[in-house]
Amino acid sequence: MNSREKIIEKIKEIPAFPTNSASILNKINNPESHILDIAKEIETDPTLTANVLKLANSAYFAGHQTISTIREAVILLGINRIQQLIIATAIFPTAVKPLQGYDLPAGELIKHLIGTAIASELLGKELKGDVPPHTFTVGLLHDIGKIVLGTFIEIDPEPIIKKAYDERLSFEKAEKEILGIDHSEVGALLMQAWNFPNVLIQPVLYHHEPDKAPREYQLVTDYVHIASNLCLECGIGSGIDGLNYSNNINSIERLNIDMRTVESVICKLIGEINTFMENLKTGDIT
Amino acid sequence: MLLTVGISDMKISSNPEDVLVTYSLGSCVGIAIYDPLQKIGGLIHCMLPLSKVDLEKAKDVPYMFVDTGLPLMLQTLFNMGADRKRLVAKVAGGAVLLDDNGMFRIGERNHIVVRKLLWKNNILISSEDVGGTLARTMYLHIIDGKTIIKSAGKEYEL
Repeated sequence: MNSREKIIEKIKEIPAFPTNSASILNKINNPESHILDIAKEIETDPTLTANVLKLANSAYFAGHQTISTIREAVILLGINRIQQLIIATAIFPTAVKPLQGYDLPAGELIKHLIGTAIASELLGKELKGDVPPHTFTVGLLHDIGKIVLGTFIEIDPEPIIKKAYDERLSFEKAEKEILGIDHSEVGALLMQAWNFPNVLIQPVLYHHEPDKAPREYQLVTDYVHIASNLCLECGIGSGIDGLNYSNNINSIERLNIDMRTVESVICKLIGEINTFMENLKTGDIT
Repeated sequence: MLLTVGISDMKISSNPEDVLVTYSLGSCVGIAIYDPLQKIGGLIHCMLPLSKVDLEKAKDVPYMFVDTGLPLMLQTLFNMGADRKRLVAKVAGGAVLLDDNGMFRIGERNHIVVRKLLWKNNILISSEDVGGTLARTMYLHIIDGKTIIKSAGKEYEL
């Protein structure tokens, strides 16, 4: 078996997405569900309720309001935000751990995921553009394949780095050459195994090659592509792969981003990440 | 003591037991400035070159920008007795994406503004490790001004 097949085989062994969260996410994505029923279902799970409320009360979402029940959270923040919070709480315990294969210390990957989610929304606001509701969630999930490669498989990054630097390849291309698969595809396969919808899977799959994203998912993919690179530039979750990635010129043109937009987003980014993280300590979300 | 300089932050120390450190410099730029006689040094971590992009932000967080943060660090060092003629400056960071398609070049521009400002202040850069696609961590030892860079598993003196 080559390493691509081994990796794909390994994805099947990865623990399932928390079942309760998965069932709730399915209900959220079902247009026939009633939001108050969804709230009720969340409330039957005390851990999930505590986690969602903790995140919902961060200044990033709640501003100055205090949210004390899931019902309030659903009404005040809207169902899209609730979906984002459920996914954030589901990935937090794993994404907060150190990532050996990418030389990321504890807490760095989750910061990169949250940073990318926030930067995507900030970009949209700055550009006064349409920010599709799944953008934030895709930001949270885009590098989930790194958890698989870096933790469950513990890839040896040396040959990948060497290839990337010797041949001036971006890191994901070097991954693909050495492992036969890159972290974007691994992430997409994992999300497929978790029965996630295509609106989330496709942008994760193409976050380094946004031109290949199907048209209906391209805007989200463009936002997340640029936002992730911006975070790396700011040192938010850059590991051994460093800044060894490329900005896609067509994404820049499609979004119509200029230097000023980028700098305005960077100015606000750290403050916004802090408002998101202020209530969270490692081990807080269980 | 190990004192962490956060992103858009600056710290100065004259305690020989202190080591200043700033982590994950990507396009951001880290500047260590040290007076070997007074044994006083400062380390700053700036994200962006020029404050004109958000003047309000620059008032709240002057160390976010090279053009507001670096002069403030120099002034604080002078107030604490450092002498301009003796100052040793070292610079790290300013990395760039493998191909950013010429759009943002934050790292390069950070580096240019640092050089300009230090030049204007008659301070020579004694050594630097800038550019490329690697993220860096920068340490400044107050006891002797030794500046160490850690990057991609390697460690070397600047």
